[in-house]
Amino acid sequence: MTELLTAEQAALPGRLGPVDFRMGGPELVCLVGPNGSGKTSLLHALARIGAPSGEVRIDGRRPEDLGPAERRRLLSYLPASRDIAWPLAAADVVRLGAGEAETLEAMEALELDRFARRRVDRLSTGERSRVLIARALAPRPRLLLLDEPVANLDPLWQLRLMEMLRLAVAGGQGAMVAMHDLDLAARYADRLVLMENGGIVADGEPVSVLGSERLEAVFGIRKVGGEWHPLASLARSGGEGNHAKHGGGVIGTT
Amino acid sequence: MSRLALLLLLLAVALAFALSLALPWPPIAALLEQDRPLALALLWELRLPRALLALAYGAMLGASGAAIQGLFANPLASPDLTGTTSGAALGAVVTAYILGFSAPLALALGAVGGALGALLLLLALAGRRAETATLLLAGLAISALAGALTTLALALAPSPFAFYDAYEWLMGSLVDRSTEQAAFAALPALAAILLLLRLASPLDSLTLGEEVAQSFGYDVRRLRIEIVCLTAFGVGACVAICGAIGFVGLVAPIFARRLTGGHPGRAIAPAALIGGLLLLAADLVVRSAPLGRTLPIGVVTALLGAPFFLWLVAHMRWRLER
Repeated sequence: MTELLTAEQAALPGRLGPVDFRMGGPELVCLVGPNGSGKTSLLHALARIGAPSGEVRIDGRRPEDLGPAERRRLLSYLPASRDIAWPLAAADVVRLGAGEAETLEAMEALELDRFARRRVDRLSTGERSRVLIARALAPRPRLLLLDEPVANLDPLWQLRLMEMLRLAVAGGQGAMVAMHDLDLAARYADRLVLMENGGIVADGEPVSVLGSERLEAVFGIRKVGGEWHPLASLARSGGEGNHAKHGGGVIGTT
Repeated sequence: MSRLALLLLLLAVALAFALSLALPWPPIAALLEQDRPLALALLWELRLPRALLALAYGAMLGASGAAIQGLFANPLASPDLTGTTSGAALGAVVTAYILGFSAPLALALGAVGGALGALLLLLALAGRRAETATLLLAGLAISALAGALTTLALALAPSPFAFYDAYEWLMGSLVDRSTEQAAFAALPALAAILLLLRLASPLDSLTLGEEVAQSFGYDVRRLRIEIVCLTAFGVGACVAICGAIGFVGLVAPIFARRLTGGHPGRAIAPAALIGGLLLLAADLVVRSAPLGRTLPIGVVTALLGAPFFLWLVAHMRWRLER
């Protein structure tokens, strides 16, 4: 059977080392790692943005071999930036990636109906995020490549989006999502991929990756008593980790 | 854009073109009675080239303005503000001094070369997705440099006649061009516009940013090169025949995007029609102004366009401060 995604020696000079990656069937894979660790670059390499080297096949097909119409059925890429260059109506932004019926469906799923005709420069950042997410989801591609989709969303919409992605996976799509909220990632992902310095350093079930010493080393944080704490402040307080309100800081929700 | 809007726009262009042939009517009416062949010759050899040039040059400025604005994701980009027209003018003046104004092919090549040089310099200075400030500063610097070099070329004119020829041509004029000259500007302009129209979808997808356009499978680097070359080719050919005409390339796309719901790529076709309409209208103003002499059309478009530009800057500032 054809694998949903295979990437061999995918690389972007100076940003992403040669990386091999596979996704056998529909899965929700969350990409985690500190700023600058290569999450966006990996998504770029898979979406064939910025002349990456190596070979990527989605459903056995190379994206480069396909024209724009077919490629939109194969993959969708959502950038971390929420900028939209021209003040189009919300529905027109979604339509840039999909047909009429798909557009309406995606607008409904993200409850954008009442904004449909409003210009995107008159929406809040969170609302604009939802418009762009709807644009990426609308064509129902085989593989979703989403860069920090939950950033700017309120708690309810963060959860609803993750549930939508679970539904998409149940419907046969693959999803690869870069995010910083480790708890949210662990809760919804089938697989967690940890990145550092442009390479994959851990890849597996959320529980095993999250509990690994590698994650602690990469991020410099540890979970104590259900909350994340910087290793440095844990060392100062003798590992108790119960002083978050006194300068230690809580990490996890961004 | 709705079909009705497109139809109305086409009708308006056809009407302006017909008026451009017919006005002023009395001399034609008189000649039609006395000497029919002469009247037809006047229409064919004097008025048709003029109307054709106005339509083609205006359409070229509108289409290239829309494409450049889409490419830079900035409504202030246009062939004149980015130095394309002044670069073309410089190229043509320098070529004219060497070979004279009667060598249209060389003149056109010089103008295309100048336009290309200016656009490439702009890309190097302002970057891919130019911020308004860097784009305007770079465009200003290039226009100023090309303007200064053109003035220098004028100052070093080999003869007073050469100076006068160049000066008159620089102000932009559609008057007294032959049918061949009109074809020489109109055919490259038409080809460039048709080729630019193909780029509507990739330009629309650039609304979502360069990365998304690439993920759609569009080669953004190639798109950039195509737009720069087509714009330089079409605008250069028109500048070579008619001199520099400003502001149409800035104004037409802004109106056109109102018809396309803001889509930058889809605006290329209506921008071409609106550009042609604007220049035909400006030429009608030039002809009917009761001044006893013909105004250079470049002066008219600048007089009408500059206040619009000021309004645009004020409007953008208002939106930023809101």
